[in-house]
Amino acid sequence: MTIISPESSRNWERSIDMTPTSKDTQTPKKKRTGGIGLLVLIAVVGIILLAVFYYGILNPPSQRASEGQAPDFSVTTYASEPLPPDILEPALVNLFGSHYQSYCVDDLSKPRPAEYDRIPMKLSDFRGTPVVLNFWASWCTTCKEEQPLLESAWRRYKGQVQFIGLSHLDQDKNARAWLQCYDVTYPNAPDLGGKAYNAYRIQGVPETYFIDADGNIVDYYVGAIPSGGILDQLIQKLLAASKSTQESP
Amino acid sequence: MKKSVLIAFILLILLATVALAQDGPDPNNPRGLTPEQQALAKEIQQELWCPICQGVRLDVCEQQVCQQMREMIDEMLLEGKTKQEIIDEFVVQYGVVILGEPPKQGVNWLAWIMPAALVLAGLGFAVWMSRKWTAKRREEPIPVASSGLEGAATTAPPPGDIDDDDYLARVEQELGEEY
Amino acid sequence: MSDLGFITLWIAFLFTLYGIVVSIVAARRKDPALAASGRNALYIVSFLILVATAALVYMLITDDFSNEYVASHSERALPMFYKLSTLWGGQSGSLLFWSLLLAIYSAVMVATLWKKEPRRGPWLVAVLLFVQLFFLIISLYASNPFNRLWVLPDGSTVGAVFRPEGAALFIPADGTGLNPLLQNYWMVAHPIFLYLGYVGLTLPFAYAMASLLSGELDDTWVKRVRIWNLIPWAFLTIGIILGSQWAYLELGWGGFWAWDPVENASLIPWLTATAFLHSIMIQEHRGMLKVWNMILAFLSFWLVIIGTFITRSGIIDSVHAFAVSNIGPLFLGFIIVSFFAFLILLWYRLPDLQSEAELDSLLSREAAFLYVNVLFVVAAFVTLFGTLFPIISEALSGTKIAVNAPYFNKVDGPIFLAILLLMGIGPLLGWRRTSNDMLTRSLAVPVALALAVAGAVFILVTRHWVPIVAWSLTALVLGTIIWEFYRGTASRRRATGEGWLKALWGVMARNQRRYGGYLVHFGVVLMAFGMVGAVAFQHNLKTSIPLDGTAELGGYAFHYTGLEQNKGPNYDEVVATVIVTQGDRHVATLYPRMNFYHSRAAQDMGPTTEVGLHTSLREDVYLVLNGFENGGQLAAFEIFVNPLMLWMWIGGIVMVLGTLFALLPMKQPAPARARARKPIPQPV
Repeated sequence: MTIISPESSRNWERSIDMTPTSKDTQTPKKKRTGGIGLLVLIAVVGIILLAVFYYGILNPPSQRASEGQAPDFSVTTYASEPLPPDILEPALVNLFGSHYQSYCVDDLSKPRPAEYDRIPMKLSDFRGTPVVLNFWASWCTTCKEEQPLLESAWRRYKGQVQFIGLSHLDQDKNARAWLQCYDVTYPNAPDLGGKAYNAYRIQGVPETYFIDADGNIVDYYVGAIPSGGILDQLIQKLLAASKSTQESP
Repeated sequence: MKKSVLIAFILLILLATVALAQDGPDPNNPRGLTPEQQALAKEIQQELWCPICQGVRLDVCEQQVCQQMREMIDEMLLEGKTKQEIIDEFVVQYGVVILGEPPKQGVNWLAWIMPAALVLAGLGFAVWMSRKWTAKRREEPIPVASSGLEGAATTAPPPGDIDDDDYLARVEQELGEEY
Repeated sequence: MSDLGFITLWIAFLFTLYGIVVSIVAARRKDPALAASGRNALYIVSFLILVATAALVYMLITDDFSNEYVASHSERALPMFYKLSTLWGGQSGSLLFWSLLLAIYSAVMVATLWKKEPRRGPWLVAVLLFVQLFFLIISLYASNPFNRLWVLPDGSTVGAVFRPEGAALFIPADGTGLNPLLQNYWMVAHPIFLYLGYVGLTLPFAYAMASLLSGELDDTWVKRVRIWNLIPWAFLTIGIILGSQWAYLELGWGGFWAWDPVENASLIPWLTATAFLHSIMIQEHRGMLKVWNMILAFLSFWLVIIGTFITRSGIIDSVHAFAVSNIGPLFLGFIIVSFFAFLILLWYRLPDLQSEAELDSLLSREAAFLYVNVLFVVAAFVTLFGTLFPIISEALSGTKIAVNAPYFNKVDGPIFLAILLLMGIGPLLGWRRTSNDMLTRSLAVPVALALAVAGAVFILVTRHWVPIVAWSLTALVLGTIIWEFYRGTASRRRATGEGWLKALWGVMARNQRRYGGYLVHFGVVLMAFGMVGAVAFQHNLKTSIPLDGTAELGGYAFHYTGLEQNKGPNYDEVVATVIVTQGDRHVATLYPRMNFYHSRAAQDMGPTTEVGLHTSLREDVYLVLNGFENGGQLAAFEIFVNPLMLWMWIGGIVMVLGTLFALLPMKQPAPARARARKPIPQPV
C-alpha cells in the first residue's frame, strides 16, 4: 500500500484519474479485514432496528384488543359513601359548570350500593356472566352523554349482564362526584396507572367492551354510544353470543 | 360608654376591612398556596407531562385532565406532602406515562443503558481504529516535486507541522484541491 | 384531470422499470448505446412525473373536488397561497411531491455527471430509478393522489381510481379544508426545504451504490459526491431551522424543539449527513475511512427512509404525523431490501476499500474528524433508539412509556457538548500530526477565552454546570475560529503586503471550503449560545389577568387592556391587547390572538393561538392568549421570557451564508507567493 503525503497528494490524485480502477495499482492479494468490524457493527444495529420496526408494525398503538380472551384486571372499587357537600359541590362545578343540577339527579346525598363499596374486583370474578366494560373519565366531555344511557341499561339488564366502569387517569374526588351526579349503581373503580387501559390497548375515552360469559371479547365500541337503541342492540348481541356458547357442549 | 362604642366601631371597621380584603379567591391562586408552595407547584408541573397529549408539559397543557392534575398538586401541597411523595402518588394514579423520561427501573433501565452502550461502542471503535492505524508506521516516500506547485520551497515542508508562512505555502498548494 | 395524472404516473412507472433493466444490462455489457437509452428513460420519467404533479396542482387551484385528495385537504375559502401548499399537506400529495423532487434531482445529477462517469453512469441511473420505483409504487397502489370520490349504494364514500361496483361519482360542494395549524407561512416554506434535503440525500447514496456496483472505488467518488451531499445537507439544515421557528412562533408553548418523533426524524439523518461532510475530507486528503464513508452515504439515505417510515406508519404517536395508512409495511420492505442490498455489496467490495494510509498521531486532524464522526453517528442512533423506546418498552414489558424532552436533553446534550469541544480543537490540528508547540500556541487564546467565560458565567449568572460548560465551549470554538481567520490573514499579508481587509478577503476567497466551513461553525456557535440561554434561563408564568390588570415577569410588566373580535377569510379571531413595559420604558404592545377556524377539519382541533412576540438581542418576550371569560373581563395568558433567543436565528442565517460562501463560484484574488524559507527541522 502506498502512503500519501499531503504534498504529493495532487500527483497521486492525477495518477488515479488516469487509471480506471484502483485495482490495477494495488497488490494482487487483498485482505478483507479492514472494515469488517464496522460492517458487523452496522449489521447488528440494523438488525435490531429491523426487529423493532417489525414488532411495531405488527402491534401498532391503534390496534386494540379486539378478539379472544379479554385481558383480566384487578382493581378496587370506589367508596360508596357520598361525598360531603363542601367537597361535592366544587367538584361538580368544575366538572359540569355552575348549572350542574341540569346534569345530575335530584338527590345528591344518596349513597351508592354497599355491595360495591371498596371491594377488590377482577374481571375473572364475573366468569359465567356477560360483562359490559366501560372506560370513562370525569374530564371526558363525551362521556357525559353516554353515562345516563349506561346506567339505565344496567338497571334494565340487571341479573343478565354485569356492568363495570373503569375510570382512566382520574382522581377519587372527581370520579366519585361524577358517580354521585349520575347516581351510577354499577361498580366503578379507578384504573390505577392505566394498566387495564394499556392491556386493552385503548386509544381514548370513552370506549366500551362487550365480553361474553366465557371471558371472550365479542365486540367493542369506540367513542360515546350515541343512543339507548344502539346500546340495546349491542347488549342483545352480547346476550345472544353468550347463550350460544352456553348452549354448545 | 362613648369610648367602648368607639372601640367597638373601630373593631368592626377593621373586621370589615379584613373580610372585604378576602372577598374572592385570586384567580391565579384559587386554593391559596403560600409563595413557596406556588414555586414548588410550578416545579412539579414542569417535571410532569400531559398523559393524553404528545410531548406537552403539564404547566402548559390546557386540557381538563391537566387542570385536574394541577389541582391535585395544589391540594397535596396544602396537605404538606413533599415533591417526591406527590410525584410518586401521580405515578401510581396516572402511570409512568406522565414522567418526562423512562424511570430507572425494570425494563426501562434499557433506555439509559442503551445510549451509554452506544457511546462506549462508538468510542471503542474510534480508539480501536486509531490504534490500528498507528500500529504500523512506515517511512514516507520522498515526494515527487512536480509542476504546478507555486512558490513552494524546493525542499518540501515537513509534513503536518508547519509554521505560519509554510502554512500559507501549503494553503496555496491546495489550490486545485479546494481544501 | 385525475385520469391524466393517473395515466402519466402509470407510464412513468413503466418507463422506470424499463430504465432500471436497460441500465443494468448496459452496465454489465458496457454498452454505451443501451446506457444512453436507460438515461433517456430517466429523463422521460422525470418529465412525466412533472406532468402528473402539474395535473394535481391544477386541480388544487381550480377547486376540482371530484378528486379525493383535493376534497379532503383543500376548500374554496382557502387562500390561493395555501391551496398550492396542500400539494404537500396530505399523505399522498406529499409522496407525489417526493417523487417530483427525486425526479428533478435525478435528472440534474445524471445530466451533470454522465460524460464524466462512463462506468458509474448506468448504475447511477439504475439506483436512482429503483428508489423512484418504490415511491411510484406507493403512489399508484397504496396512497394515490388521483383517486376520485365515489358514493356507494349504502351511502358511504370511498376514494378510488376506478369505479367500484355500484358506485356513483360524488363531487362534494366544498372540501374539508386544511388543518389550521398548517395555515401559516412557515408551513409552506419548511416542508419544501425539508423535502429538498430528504430527497437530496438519495443522491450521495446512489453515487455510493453506483461506485460499489461498478467496482470503481477510487477516491474520485468522494470528491465528486461532496457537492451532492452538501446541497441536500444545506436544504435540510434550513428545513430544520424553519421547522423550529414554526414550532416557536405558532405552537405557543414557548419552545422551539420538543424532541417529537417527527422532529427527531429530521435531525437523525442531518447528523449523519454532517458526519459525512467531514469524513469526506479525510478520504480526500489521506485515502482513509473508505468503508466508513460508504456506510455514511448509505446511512444518511436509509435514516431518511426510516424517519419517513416512523412518522407515516403509525408505529409511534405524534402530533405531527399524517393520518395512518397502509404504507407502513411497504416502507419497511424497502428499508429491509436496501439494507441488505447495501451490506452485501459492501461486503463484496471490501477488499477494494482498504485504507490507503495510516494515522500518524492522535493529535491530528484525521483523528479529530474520526472522533467527531463517531460522536455524530452515536448521537443519531441514540436519538433514534430514544424515539423508538416506547415501542421497545411495550414489547418487553407491556407498559406504555413516554420519552420526552428531558431524556433527550440528558443523553444527547453531553454528546453535543463533546462535539463542540472537538469543533474547537479540530481545526487547530494539522493533517497527520501537530507538534505540541504548535498546538499550545494555537490553543492559548481560545482556551483563555473559554476559561474567562466560564468564570464570568459562574460568578455572574449561575452555578449550574450545563450553561457554564456549554458557554465556555462556545467561547473556545469562537476563539479558534477567530484565531484561524487571523492566522490565514496574517500569513497572506506577509506574503502579499496587502492591507488587513484585502488579505482577509484574499485568503477567504482562495480557500472557500475552509473558510466557508469556519463561517458555518461560527453560525453553530451563535446557535449554541442562543440555545443555552433560551432553554436554561427561560422564565414562564401562567396567569389570568383581569381587564386593565397587570402581571409581572422577568422585570417586565404586562398590562392587559382589551379584547376584540375580528373576521378572517376562513376563521374568526379574538385579539388581546397587552402593553409591555420595563420600568418606565414602553417595550412593546403585543397582540396575542386565538383563531377559531370554520372548516370541519378544524372543529375537532379547537382554536389555535398566535403568539404576541417582541424580540431583541437580549431576550424575547412571548405572550400567548389561552382563553377568556365574560367577554374579556378576565383573560388567561401564558407569558415567556426567552433570553438570547434571537441568536439562534442569527446563527442559522450565518450557517446558511457560510454554506453559500463555500459553494458559490467566486472571482479568485491573485495567489500569494510564499517567500522561500529554510526547511524547518523535523519535530521530534
